[in-house]
Amino acid sequence: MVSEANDVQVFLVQHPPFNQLSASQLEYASSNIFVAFSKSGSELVLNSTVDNPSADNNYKIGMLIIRSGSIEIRTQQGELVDRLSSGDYLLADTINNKGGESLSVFVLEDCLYYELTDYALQSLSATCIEISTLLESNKTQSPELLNNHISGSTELHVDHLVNDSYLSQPVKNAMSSSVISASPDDSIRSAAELMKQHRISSLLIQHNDQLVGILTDRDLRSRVLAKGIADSEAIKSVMTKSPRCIDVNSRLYDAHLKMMSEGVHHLPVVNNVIPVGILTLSDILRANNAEPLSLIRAINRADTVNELSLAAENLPGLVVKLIERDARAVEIGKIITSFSDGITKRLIKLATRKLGVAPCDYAWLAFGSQARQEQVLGSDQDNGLLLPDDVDIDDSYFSKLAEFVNDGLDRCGMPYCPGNVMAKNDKWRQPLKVWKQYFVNWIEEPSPRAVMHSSIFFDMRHIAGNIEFTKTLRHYVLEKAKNNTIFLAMMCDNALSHSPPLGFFKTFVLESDGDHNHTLDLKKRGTIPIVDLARIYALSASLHPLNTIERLELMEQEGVMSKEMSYSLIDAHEFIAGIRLDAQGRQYRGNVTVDNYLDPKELSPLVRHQLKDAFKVVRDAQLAMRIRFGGGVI
Amino acid sequence: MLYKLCTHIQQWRFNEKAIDTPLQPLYQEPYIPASQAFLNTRFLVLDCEMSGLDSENCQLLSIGWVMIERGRIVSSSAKHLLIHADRGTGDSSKIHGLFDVNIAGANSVATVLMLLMRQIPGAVLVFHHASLDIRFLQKATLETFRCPLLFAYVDTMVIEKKRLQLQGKMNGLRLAQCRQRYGLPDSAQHNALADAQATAELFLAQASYLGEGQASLSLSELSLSCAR
Repeated sequence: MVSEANDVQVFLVQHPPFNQLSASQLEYASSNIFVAFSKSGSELVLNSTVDNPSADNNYKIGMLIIRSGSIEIRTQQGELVDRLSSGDYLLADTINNKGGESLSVFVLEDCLYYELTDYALQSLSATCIEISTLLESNKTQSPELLNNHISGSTELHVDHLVNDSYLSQPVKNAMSSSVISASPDDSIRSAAELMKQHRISSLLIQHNDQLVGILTDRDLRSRVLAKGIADSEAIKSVMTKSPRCIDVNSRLYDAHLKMMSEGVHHLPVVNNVIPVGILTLSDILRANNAEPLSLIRAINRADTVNELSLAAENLPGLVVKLIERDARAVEIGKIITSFSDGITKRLIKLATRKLGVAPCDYAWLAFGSQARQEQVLGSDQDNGLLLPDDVDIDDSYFSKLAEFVNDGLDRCGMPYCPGNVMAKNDKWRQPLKVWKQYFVNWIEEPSPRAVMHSSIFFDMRHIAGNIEFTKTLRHYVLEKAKNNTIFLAMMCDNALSHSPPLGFFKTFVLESDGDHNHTLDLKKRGTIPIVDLARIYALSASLHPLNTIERLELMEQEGVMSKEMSYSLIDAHEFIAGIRLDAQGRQYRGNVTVDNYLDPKELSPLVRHQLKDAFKVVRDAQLAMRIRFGGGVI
Repeated sequence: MLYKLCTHIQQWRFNEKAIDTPLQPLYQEPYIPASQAFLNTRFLVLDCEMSGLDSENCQLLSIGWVMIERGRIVSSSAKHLLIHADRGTGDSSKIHGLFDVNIAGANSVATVLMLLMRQIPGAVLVFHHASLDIRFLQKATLETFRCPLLFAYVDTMVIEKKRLQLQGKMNGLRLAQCRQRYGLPDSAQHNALADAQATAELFLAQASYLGEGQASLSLSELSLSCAR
């Protein structure tokens, strides 16, 4: 008998919650699966006792997993509750609803499906947290499945997404695996030479293949130099004997804890007793977010646009790493934006080197996602120049400056703004009084079109130059916008034009235009509605933050929005933005053009359900916003 | 009725020879009536890998099987058995990924056939392109036990061929092509077990489309035959 993963296992392992199972659990699950086929149009019956009760291997169905084809679930009245396709699963309990109304399952397209026995499902839930959580949440959530009316707030289960942080990586991922060692009888001097030669900060001391000690930089300083010991002495007199070790299969947090509690910075990594590498505190830091620092350093040292663009090339790789490490979307947005800011500032400095010092003070402004610190890979640039109101400004200088910076940003991975909102466009390189006039026009005589085009300007952040200019303009805009109900109603109507992609029965409404047939636009339909919402509330109450999450947090504290709604929106934003980032990470890895489109089929059923919940939160919040601000222009 | 007649003739011809061999139960088993319902039948879906197509010079390399009961593939019944080869695996190892080194730890052909025979009584066997697999199985059984296997079987390729003829079509009959017509997913692996499972899924799909569907289907609608 050959033991190997069969087709069932190969399929299960790709789909949650089964991807969380261990190999033996997976084997157990697959051996308790019965495969069946139903042609389109037929009804699936999931009742417990199967047709022939006399058959010896009778089983109660616990879960149904769609292998291919699709099914739909309807209420007794024929209302559509959900559609499921390959990789989706259905708990039998959801259908044979205890007490409540039971549901019917119809085959939409020829369907090959797996039946997992109830007994196996229950046994798995005893050993697998993902499955027990699933069964638990099903108990509480079934009525919600039927309920499509607008309710207060929906809880989001994002917990499972916050799984492994970088510290739960195994030690072997972060350690340096070259074992450089010396004998305890070697001289201190030869040890120091060895360390210099290999550029390492610690040396393992082995005797007859046994680890007997460790010698570090710090030992050389504090035990040799500071005490005036001759470098011809043997290592054993100054080394740390029987050092603390860490097993190669431990996790980084174990290693980190050990370093903290022992007050050491180096841990030999052992496999049984054999040293296989060494882990330093900086290895752990590097496993976290040390790269952004080195990248920022590279940016600040670049002397030409070329060097700058070379440094910027490292950004996508870094971002993909952060995504894979499950960094929060809001943090990734801030990190990407901090690079854009850094690159912009550096470009301005390089421009100044080339063009000479500016003839007068000015402020470089960022708009849109850069202003909100919510950039993603490939976000385009939106910026402008704010000049003083003095007469006689030599615009040719600023025109050249803007051109230099805009071109540089484009070369560094921030493409030109398709709407031409850039400082090199004369319209967006103006004195304060002109800028003020722009905003007065938008706020006091708003037209739907103007509002649509101007919303990004209301997210404005100072990047370089004289910050007082920016402050003045920001203050002016906030004062004008506050309590201007017509303007807010217009903004509100504009925001409502981006609605979450939910059909009436909690099904996704997919984009079906052009290249992106049947995909979700996670930006337009997911994050933008939340961003718009937060902006409108913030403008209505003159709140200063620009970042959507910070706005939502402050809105709650200031009582502008209910606690439930703001928290739900924060969760929903994090969730949708996270999925968008994940998809972009995958696209980048797969060398596919990075965009905001996602085929919901690529999502696991679990995530898909949660995504629907997240969209529902957005829809509820939009309705509340319309009641509060909307003039009903639409 | 050809099926019934053929079964009786085989029983009569080899009954004596089968006595005191592991094949005896097969010859004493009452034959499965063609009127038996699909859902009440146990099917043993089988696929063999051989070192070539010519049964004179080539041999069995592995057998995979899986059971269908009450219209459900019973995953826990899946078996994949490798067989000792006297000669090297030759060209077909490129297709099946079976190399001499894999086969070194395999079972003797007698062991594998005995295991198979234990599954046969009461079951209808299912193959895709049955004649090829049966030719190899019978040759191996004759060489080992001096008596051929006796079993009832259906061929998913024959079922598909008839269906296409009724529709006036002439399409490909390879396993993957047949599966595609029922919207079944591509399978990534190609070994005896994976192909047996793929055949089993195809068979379930075909049964759903035959007559009034699985629930009212009987064996007579499946072109039941008897192995010789």
